[in-house]
Amino acid sequence: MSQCDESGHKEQRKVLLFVCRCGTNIAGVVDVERVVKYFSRREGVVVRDQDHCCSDEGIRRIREAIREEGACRLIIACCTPSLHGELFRRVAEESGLNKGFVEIVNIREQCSWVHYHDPERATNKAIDLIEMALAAAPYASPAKVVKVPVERSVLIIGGGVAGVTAALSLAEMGFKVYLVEREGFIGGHMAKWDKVYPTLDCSICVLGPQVSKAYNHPNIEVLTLSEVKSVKGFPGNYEVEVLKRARYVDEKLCNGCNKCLEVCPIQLPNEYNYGIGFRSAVVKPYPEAVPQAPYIDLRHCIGCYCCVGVCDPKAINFKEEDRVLKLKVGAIIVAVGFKPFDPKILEEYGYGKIPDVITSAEYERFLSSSGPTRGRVVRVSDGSVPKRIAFIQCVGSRSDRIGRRYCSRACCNNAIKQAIQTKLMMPGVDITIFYVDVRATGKLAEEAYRRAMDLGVNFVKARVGELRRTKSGKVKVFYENILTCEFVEEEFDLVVLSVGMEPPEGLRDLASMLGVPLSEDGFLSEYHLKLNPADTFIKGVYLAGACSGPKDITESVTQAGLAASRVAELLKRGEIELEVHAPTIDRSKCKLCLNCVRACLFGALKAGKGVV
Amino acid sequence: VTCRGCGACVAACPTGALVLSGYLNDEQISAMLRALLSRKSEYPLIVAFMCMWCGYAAADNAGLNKILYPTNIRIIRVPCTASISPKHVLEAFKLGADGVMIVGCYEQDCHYRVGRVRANERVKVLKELLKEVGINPERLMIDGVAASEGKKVAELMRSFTEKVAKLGPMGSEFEV
Repeated sequence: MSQCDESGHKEQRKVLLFVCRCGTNIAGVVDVERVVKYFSRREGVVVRDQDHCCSDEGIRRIREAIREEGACRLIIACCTPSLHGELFRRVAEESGLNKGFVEIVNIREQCSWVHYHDPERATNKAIDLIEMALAAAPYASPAKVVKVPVERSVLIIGGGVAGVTAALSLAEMGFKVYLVEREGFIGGHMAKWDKVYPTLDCSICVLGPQVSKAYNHPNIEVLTLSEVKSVKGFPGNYEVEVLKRARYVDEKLCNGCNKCLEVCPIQLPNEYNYGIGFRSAVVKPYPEAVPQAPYIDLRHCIGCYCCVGVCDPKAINFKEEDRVLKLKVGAIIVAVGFKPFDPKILEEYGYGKIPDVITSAEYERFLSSSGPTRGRVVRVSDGSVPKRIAFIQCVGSRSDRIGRRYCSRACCNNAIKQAIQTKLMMPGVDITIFYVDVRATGKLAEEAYRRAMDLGVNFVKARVGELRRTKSGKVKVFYENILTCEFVEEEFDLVVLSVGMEPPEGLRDLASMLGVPLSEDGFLSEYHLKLNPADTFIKGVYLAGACSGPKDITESVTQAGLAASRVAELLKRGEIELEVHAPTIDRSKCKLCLNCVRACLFGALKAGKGVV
Repeated sequence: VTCRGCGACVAACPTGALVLSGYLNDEQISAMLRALLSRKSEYPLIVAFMCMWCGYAAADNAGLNKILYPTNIRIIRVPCTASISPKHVLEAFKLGADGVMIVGCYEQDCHYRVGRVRANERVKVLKELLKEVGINPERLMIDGVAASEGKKVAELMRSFTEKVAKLGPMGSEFEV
């Protein structure tokens, strides 16, 4: 493979050094001419400068130079190796140079971008870093690559719209999909929504068939009430343990008659509707739920067996036990979504204390025909129909005070949608949206914003300072109108807090299990925000939906499709090339002290057998 | 197949019989230290070993966000802080580094689960050893960051540079 005689003198190995200008990204600070001049007189070193090494022309020049100069080592001083390291290593490999002989010197992220206040020293540092790479170059060891077969199956964590979309896409391509959902039913937040912006399309009418198709797809195994407990292995070959909690209702036998729901004598606050209304200990939150079989909440079941009595197909089985499933998959897509922000920590809004202050998610349940009021908007305190409704934006978003600096992206459009929907349903209602900025972006969003204004929805630019319950039971809103600079008090019947998105429960644990880093905002971090939004730093693990930051349905679906296609790229050939990052042992030097065996963090080294 | 490639065994090997492919090997790191410290282009000169998952990634993040920090730090990328051989830390000091910083993940976030904890143990022993030979153990530090914490890694570099500058050049401990 290599064009170099590795047995010869190490010092005689010819080094090819490329210094990248990266437009002005590097050359604007680091004096590339000085760097090139500095190394040009060095024996055994060929130095070239290039505008963008990563461009088509740059790559061509690198390729030509390797061949023409007969270089044995390639050093590229450019951006971070995590950006184009793989690209340059591949170029070297294609030009006959083992990719282990490529070294990237990071003079952008570590010089020009962080020392632009001192170009002189930034240049000196660049020279230092290149000197270090040059010194190390002769001792580089060749990379070892192995081909391993891959499992043609995928684990998708999260059965919301992103997870379901990715699952269907992969299943249609012929991959086996395990769709793991923590709750009892798939569909996620979208299933809870009545209408979706910007067109006020019926949410369950578009999602329902997709979810049903996924559940019944021969290539998809839907595991509800399930959680991933451990992940082991490497790209193409993961072993996953999934805890599947008992449902106590056989999904195959159940005919969806819902008689069990009616006979169950238990009444509990309905979490699905955020505690509004009641549910029984046999749980099925809405009629279109998939799977159609309910599950039994054993913590609250009193064991009356009424449900067993009415179940004609004899689907209820209290002997069912929790199981741990061991799955073998080639890739993993994380699609665990988000959690709506809990506004209790914002004491000034009195959420949880003032009954008529609710969140936008709760409001949506009121709008929904399967919600606690069957689609009627009422005041929680007395069940009366509100005449004046206020929406407060940016609750749990864009706030340094509570450590959530990011914009949740969907709440402006959602508030506009909820306002339009309410206006159409109850034309006499008076609606005010208190906004910080209206960020109605996306296709048809501006049109929806204007429609809301045409329908008479008031938009007031204000940060609301406080909400208080009046003696007459109304909610008084204290705010400063930013445009008129006036402090105003106004009474409303119902106040809706447009809550933002937060990382879901348990995301940190899942992230550390998978080795995927979190971003500053607590969501998962993607490989590259612009061009690899569905990739993570771990090959074989991909992202879909809001788990990598607030996204609306359109964006989640788009990313889910990308994640699915990235998985297909990885698994379609049936085998993948992996670089070996395992140690090799030089037996002539080994004194059998077994320090290494003790040092191994994974018990991979065994005495007597050699290494791995 | 159980090997995850952290390099903890390589750092533990006293004879250099183990070589982890795909990353800088022992000889390469030694060569880099010699090349750097024979030049000593700045004062105080600090060698930073950063794990590729968190420390190095955070430094990249600092770059991406254009966060300024002092120019006197030279970063060496390693797979895990557990792979940093004590021999290289001592070598850096022997060759005249004014300070050595090790930046990895937070203990609980280590990509190799307990690599960072292992590194902490080694640093503790190394600090004892430095004290023994009369080098101020404050010249060596270890800390953790998350990959997204460019600001924090820049702050660590700034504060460590100030601290080392106060300690004076390497070897000033020996002057009476």
